[in-house]
Amino acid sequence: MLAKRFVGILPPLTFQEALETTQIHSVAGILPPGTGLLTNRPLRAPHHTVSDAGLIGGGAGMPRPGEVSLAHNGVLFLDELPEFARNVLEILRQPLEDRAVTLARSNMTLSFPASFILVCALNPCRCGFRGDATRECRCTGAEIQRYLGKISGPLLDRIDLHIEVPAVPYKEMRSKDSSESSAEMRVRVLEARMIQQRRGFYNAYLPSTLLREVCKLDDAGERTLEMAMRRMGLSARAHDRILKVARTIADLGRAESVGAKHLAEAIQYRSLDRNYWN
Amino acid sequence: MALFRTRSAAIYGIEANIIDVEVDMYNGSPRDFVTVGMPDTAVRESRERIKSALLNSGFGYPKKAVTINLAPANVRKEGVGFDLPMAIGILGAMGLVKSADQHLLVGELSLDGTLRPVRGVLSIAACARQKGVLNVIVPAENASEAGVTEGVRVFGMHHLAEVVAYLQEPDRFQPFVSSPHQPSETDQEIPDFQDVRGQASSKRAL
Repeated sequence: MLAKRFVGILPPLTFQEALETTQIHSVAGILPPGTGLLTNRPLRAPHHTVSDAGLIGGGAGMPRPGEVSLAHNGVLFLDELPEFARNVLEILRQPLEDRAVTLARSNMTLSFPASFILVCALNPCRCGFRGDATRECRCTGAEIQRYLGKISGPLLDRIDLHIEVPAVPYKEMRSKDSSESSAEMRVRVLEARMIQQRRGFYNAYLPSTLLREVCKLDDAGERTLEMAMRRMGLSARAHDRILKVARTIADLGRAESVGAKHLAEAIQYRSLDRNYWN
Repeated sequence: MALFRTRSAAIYGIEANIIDVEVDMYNGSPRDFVTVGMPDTAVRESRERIKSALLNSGFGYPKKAVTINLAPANVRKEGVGFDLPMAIGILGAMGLVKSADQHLLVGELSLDGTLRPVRGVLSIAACARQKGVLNVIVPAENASEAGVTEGVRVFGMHHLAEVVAYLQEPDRFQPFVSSPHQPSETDQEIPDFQDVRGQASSKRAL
């Protein structure tokens, strides 16, 4: 429900992006007849029985683009993440780092662009009630281990934002107060993006040489980060990613520099490292 | 005129490459119809579609042997887009079409000569522009997709006979003009969860 609406708050496709995405869809033969340029960012939600070739591309004869490439400039949504085959999940690592898939075959080497935002959803355990306030979880420790063990540390490490979504209380479900609309949210997103554009790079693409300069921390920030790194045992990749997320949160709040509160928010988005996998 | 050349393109990854389709027609049995240049099954089967399409569109089929070369010969060819250039090549060798050098053709033929849509037309149109081929003939259903490419004239055709009519009198036809389309409204209300904030920032991962 949330993930499907996510595309609606993303900035619109630039002409170049639209061209790239349309081209991939055209080669895959999934453009609806009569369509010109795609105007919306794609949302691809493959079922968890997807094969590795279906996800990154391949196939007999001339390899075709897979789901990661079809989600180029858009969103790849993997629902029920632990249900995916382990080898299928692990092949996501390389496209997530390189934003492209390179397929090497005996007679050719092809490269498909695959710059997508990965969105995943999973239950905390097989029965789904672990940590629930009202229902009791009936999974054994080993079952939980096996369920969550499908998702490896390196993959989790590449996911920047983890959010726990508890069941909605009845009152809230029935309340008539409307919340922020996608359009309003999009305005804020665009603003933050403008700020980053002026800096020269979108935060996600920030080269590591500039990272320290752009995400300069004050004393309180340094202390917060050090403590988090020590306590949670985070990797170097997580460190860089936390800084980028903090910078983004600061941009969204139109703050000049990254403060301790931005950092703290970025760190708390890594909740899965902390709560479930240790 | 027994040798005729048309141009088409093959998809390679998400890019396209120009493929020259050479049709040679010589005395022999019409059952001799050879396609060389690493065609896959779909390309090899196209001779059956071409024969029927030519007969059913009233062009007839010559009592001659045909050899078709897809050049460069060392690249694997896949898909059904070569039906149209091969058919036009045969018509050219029969003397019914004068010249198609300035045109890039793609399209699958159905047995009655109707053109069916193919994959990857956008890449093919982009490739045509790159290589300086200014006219691209595609199935009508692919026209809006190919029309995205600026700098080439795209013609969306419905039938083999229409393509032949065009090649005989190009001036009678208007290139396809891509209509600026309205971005459809996708915005939906987002239900309020405490993680709305998280969603807003996760787009930054881009």
